[in-house]
Amino acid sequence: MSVLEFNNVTKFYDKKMALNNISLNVDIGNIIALVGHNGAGKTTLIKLLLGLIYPTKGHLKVLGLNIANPSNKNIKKKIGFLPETVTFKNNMSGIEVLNFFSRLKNTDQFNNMKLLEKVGLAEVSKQNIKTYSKGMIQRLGLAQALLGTPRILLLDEPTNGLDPILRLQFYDILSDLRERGVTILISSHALSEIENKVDKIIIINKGKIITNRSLSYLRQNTNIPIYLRFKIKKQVSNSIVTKLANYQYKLINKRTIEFKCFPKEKINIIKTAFKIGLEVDDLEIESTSMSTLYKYYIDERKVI
Amino acid sequence: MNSIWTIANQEIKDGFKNRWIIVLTLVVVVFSLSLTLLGSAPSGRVDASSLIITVISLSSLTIFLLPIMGLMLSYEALGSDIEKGNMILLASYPITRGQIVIGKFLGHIIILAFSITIGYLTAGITSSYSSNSINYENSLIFVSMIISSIILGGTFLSIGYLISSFIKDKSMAGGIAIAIWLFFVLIYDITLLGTIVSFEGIFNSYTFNVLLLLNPTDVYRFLNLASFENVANYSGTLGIITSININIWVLFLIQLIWMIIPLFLAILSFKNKEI
Repeated sequence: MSVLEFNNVTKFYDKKMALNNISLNVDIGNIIALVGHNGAGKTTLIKLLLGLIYPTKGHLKVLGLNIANPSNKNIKKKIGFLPETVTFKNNMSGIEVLNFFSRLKNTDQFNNMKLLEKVGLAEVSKQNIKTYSKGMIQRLGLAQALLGTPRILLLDEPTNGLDPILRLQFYDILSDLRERGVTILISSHALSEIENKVDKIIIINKGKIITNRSLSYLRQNTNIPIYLRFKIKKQVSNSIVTKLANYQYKLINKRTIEFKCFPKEKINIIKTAFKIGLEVDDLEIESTSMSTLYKYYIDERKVI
Repeated sequence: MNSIWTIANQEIKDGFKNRWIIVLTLVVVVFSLSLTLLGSAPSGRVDASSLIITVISLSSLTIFLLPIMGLMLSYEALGSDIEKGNMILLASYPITRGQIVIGKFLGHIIILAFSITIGYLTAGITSSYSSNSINYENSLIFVSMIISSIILGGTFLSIGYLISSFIKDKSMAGGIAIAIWLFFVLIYDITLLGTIVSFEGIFNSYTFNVLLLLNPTDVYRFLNLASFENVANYSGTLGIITSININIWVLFLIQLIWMIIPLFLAILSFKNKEI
């Protein structure tokens, strides 16, 4: 079931086109990465989903309803949002901030302390926000986004200011939410960080969606070579070298062979390695990183 | 309604935490008391009740002080939240833009009403206590002045919201707010008087009075300095306005219209604003 639907959506700011005929469906319980250069249209897309701006052409639906219609404002109860630069009034405490937003969403304030515990702010819940670090404010932002068990989470650069441990905890929270059927859209520049945490990647460039596929699909269907490194038990013999004459490989050292191939050839090479009698001690696969894929799609402007 | 009150409540709490609600109240108390205790000294003993003299003094103070207070509270109320990034988060909640503006306005007018009521009551009680001149009719005039003062403050709050809904830049919005204050409090009346003198015979006093109603501070003058006989006899100014007789409720209605229209326009402008 689609929870987010864009149908031929175009958005102009005065005469400047921000989104160009976008069509997109996001299924329930997916984590989607939205990546693109600054000004590519990511924030415009999120603002449209929140009903903060309206499409110039086309229409979009959130949970099956038109969010731009003020009478559908209650859909927003089902959406959690963390803006790129989250700020709160300095003279409020963490718990006061959550209670304020909780009243706007009409959620049970009893759970707010639990939310603060979840993001590691329980001990400072009564301190003024002016004493908070950037990371703490970001965590408070995440806590407010989680108010009222949202069905959709829109997160704009959510791990800004978080240390590596907190980032891991953050992604644990997200996987937990996904298991409960929450659909999560993350706009991020931290490509390596989201690499193995998302189900699909939407690459957006100059207002157009370049691709909207899973990482494994993108890896399989791009002509970017990958590397397979076999560490073998014995030194590479001359007979092995003869058998590998048809393959692109190099000897890293006497006991390590590196193959260069396209992702689709990967399985064949592994089969061959065993077939020719390589006694494999270890196998390392260097897949195409998300940064490389991103660069590939942006440079090629391929639409898949 | 619940969302509107949540926003209003937040503004009030904010006012207390920042302590400017206390500063605002102190300013009103100090000015009111100064006028009440010292203002009658040069005039010596007059037949008028001291509460009426207080109404006249406070009305003159209100015309200058409350418009600037209202504008200063609101001229960046929306723009600065957009600039700081608070507004995008607030607008992502199940609340309409109109509810945001009304909620903030409600919070600010309650703050203003609190300061005005405390300040003016302090002056009124002090004046009545010292001269023992309190009676039902005078008290009614005094209460009417407090209510119309709150509406006048609310009018300039609304105008401030209108400025804020159009202009993000804080310094530009501040400049426009001061220009508007100068226009309504000083320039409008001087220009009107100048025009009447220059075109004598073309404008009659009726036209003049109608033109005065186009300025919310003059509507306030009508209401507090000319509508009650007790006050009009001693206020001295605006004798001309007694030439038309406008019902006090009509004047209150005009005041309310002056408060509602800019707020309505602010909501319309804010609804179409891209945050």
